[in-house]
Amino acid sequence: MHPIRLLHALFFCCVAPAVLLAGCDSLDTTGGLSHQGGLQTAALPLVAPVPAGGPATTVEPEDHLQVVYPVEIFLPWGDGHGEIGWLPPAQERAAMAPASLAVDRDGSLWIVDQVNSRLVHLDPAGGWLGTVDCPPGGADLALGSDGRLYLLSLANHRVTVLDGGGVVDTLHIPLELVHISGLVVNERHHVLLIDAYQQTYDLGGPSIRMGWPSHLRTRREGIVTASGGPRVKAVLSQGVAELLYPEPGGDREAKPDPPADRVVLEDTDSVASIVVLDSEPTGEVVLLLEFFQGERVVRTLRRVDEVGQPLAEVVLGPPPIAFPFREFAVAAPGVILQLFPQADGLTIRSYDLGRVR
Amino acid sequence: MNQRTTRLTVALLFTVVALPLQAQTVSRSTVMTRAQTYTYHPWHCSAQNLTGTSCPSGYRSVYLVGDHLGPPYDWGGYMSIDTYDKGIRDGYGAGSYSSDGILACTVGLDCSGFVSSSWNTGHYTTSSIPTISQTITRTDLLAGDVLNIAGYHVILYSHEQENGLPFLYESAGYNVHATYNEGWAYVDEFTPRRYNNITGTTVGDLLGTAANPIEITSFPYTHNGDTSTSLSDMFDYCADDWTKRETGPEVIYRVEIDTPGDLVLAVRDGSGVDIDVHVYERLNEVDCIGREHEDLVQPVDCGEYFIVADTWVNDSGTEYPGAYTLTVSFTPDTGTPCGAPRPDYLGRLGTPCAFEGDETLPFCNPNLGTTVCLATGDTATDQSWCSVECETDADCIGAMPGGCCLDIGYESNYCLIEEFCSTSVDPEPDPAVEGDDAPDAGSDPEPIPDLSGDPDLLPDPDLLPDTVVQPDQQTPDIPSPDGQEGEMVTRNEGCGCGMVIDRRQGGGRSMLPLLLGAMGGLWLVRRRRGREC
Repeated sequence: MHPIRLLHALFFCCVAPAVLLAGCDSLDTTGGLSHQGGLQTAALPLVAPVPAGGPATTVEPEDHLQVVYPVEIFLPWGDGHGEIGWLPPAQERAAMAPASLAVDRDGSLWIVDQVNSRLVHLDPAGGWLGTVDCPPGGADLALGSDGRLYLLSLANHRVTVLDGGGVVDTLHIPLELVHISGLVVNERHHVLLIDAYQQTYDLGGPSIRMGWPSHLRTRREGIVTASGGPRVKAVLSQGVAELLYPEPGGDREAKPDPPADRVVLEDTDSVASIVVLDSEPTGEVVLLLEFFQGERVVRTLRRVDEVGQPLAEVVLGPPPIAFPFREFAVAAPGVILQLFPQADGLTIRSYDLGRVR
Repeated sequence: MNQRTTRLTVALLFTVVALPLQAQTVSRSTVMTRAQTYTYHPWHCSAQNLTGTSCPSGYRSVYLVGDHLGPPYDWGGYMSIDTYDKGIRDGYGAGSYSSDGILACTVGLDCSGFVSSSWNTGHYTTSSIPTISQTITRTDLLAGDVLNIAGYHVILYSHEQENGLPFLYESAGYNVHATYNEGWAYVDEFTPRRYNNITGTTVGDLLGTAANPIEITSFPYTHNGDTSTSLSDMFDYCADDWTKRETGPEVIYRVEIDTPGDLVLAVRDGSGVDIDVHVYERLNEVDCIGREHEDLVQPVDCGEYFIVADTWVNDSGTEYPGAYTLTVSFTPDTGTPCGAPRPDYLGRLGTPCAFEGDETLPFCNPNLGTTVCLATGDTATDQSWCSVECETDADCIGAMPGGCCLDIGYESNYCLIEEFCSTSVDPEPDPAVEGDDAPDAGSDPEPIPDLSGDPDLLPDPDLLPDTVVQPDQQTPDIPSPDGQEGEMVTRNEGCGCGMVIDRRQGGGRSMLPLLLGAMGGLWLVRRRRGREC
């Protein structure tokens, strides 16, 4: 049995911002963003992970928005108590490691330990709460409003519903949906699937559902998130990142793409890619941005307001060891958790992009 | 010779014999079609594949029994789709990892096996791929190029998505799959490389595939084709007859019909070849409206149709691809306008339609204005009806007497049949209901359960203040999640066009009273809660 260690990263606070920002056209290496559009000139501070100031406290359910996470939680590789699974990279094969992270209503963490076919449950401070066995192939995890866990398995085309006692239901994903990338469970327990094209499908709930292949008709443009904000889609247009807010019910064919629904993001002139991580009812959006710096890639988390102006930004460290997984989870508005696999174990990093405490 | 040695020998043999293939060129279209054929290849994992009939006792596949897309990751694996399918049928293990060792008893592809298969080079490893490719820059990447780290991993590049993320294909983790979420950081350490003998700068879609079907522009039409050379293998069954296996490759045609009439089709093939003819309304197996072994007369309305010459497969899995001749003619119904109902048309609004509980029912017919089959469950005792998205009740009532337009979840209003529309206006809340737990005024004497814990059973709350749905006379019972467990039977499906039939056992009760009861239950719950707050 290995003890759980809590580590506090120095890298981000001391090294990453200055080094990684060098040569990044749209970012100000003095520690702020240079807004070139003329709408805003004030520099915003780059936000580094904020130490929690001590271990997180246990909170009552529904109070998870007030949970303060440590900057880093560490779990060593293994298959026992306090450990999480890892198949190290070897010649001619890819690595396999924790696949996804979800935050429970009480702020505790669930991690898909796909190597060991289980879900690992941690308290907000990283304390080991236990495991729940799950089918193999887990790729994404979501919490339902019913308190159950919804595990997406792409390899097996299933959504497995679990509670603390194990598997309670299985939904089969139509194989026509070949590019599913994640899932969200809405307030009615409908399982919403997100695909590679930033579209959302509704598998329905347990009482009434679409006959096949009618689920294809539920397609909606844009990504939904658990935070309940508007569906949103991120695109690059002539080298600049934009957010599209599809009309309710609108799909790809029907949407006329009205200018009013299009928000141009500030400071994205040299952006390489953009991904929506969260969309809040306030209209604020959390994004993962990539910028090329020579032959290397620099990534940032950025929170923007409803008109695309940056509110806060944090530069991420070098990418983790490469394998396909769901790297980020939203713990609360503006609070992002990251799975960060390293040689000796898994680090869960937290980033505070300016939430209101 | 043990299993590992055998497999290694086979791998080495592939490398040796592959060398002469280097002189052969391959187009980017072919590379990507091969990659997609692997990625979206449907297969069924049986209990035998979990342990492998001849595998060591310690072997255990990571898969579950059921239907899947994309062959498994298999350490040292390199094989054609046909070899893979045969291995699965013969009970080989579904995939393996380095911890299993190189096994001769498993099937699938590893990362370099997948890239080598897509390039059609014979099996090169991540360390030997540099000998048949050249380094390029990231900005030079085109479809069919790769991102490689010698001794670690290789990934096939496809294109850049509209949000800038790279779209990739790889054999990694569990299976051959597309990777589209990981960003450029995922391949930051990889070296972009280009196969020496790849040709072209763009990817065209090969003729006779779903992306580029052969156009039929006049009648009579005749075409000599050959399914053995086709790279399309997306259709495995036709909804018109699910008992016929058509899991071999096919050739796809497209035709536009501007007046109702009969498509008259004939396919002829030679000895050892068996090509069947199919008509599809859309490129989806469930939208296959007709099939025959040789001759088919298919009534059609105006619109777009796809004709598919597909390879039949016998019960033992033997495919019969090869050359064929397809003839197509058309007999119009003179004077019949487009959209006019024809006696043999099924799938109108409100009529029963195919669902998991009864797949023999017709499919909803988009030519008749229906787009969706709604079902109350998935067993034969459940109910289904063709529906369509709607805005008001008026959109439904014309074709569905007593029908209504309601939100069944997530931004979607659909036409529901009369049984779901027994509503009454309740302008003033019933004091008895508000004040205590008395049942809904005028409702049945059965207690109405508080379903607040199951909001999934409830209709759109926004509809409820003005509308009260009377509960059914039966006491609603909330289904146990366990009661929905069951076996899934899936028709094989292909590239984005398959069908899943979910046969769940032991859940035979109707959901209709459940939904109605749930609606009434919500009304009560909301009133109670409103008072408490």
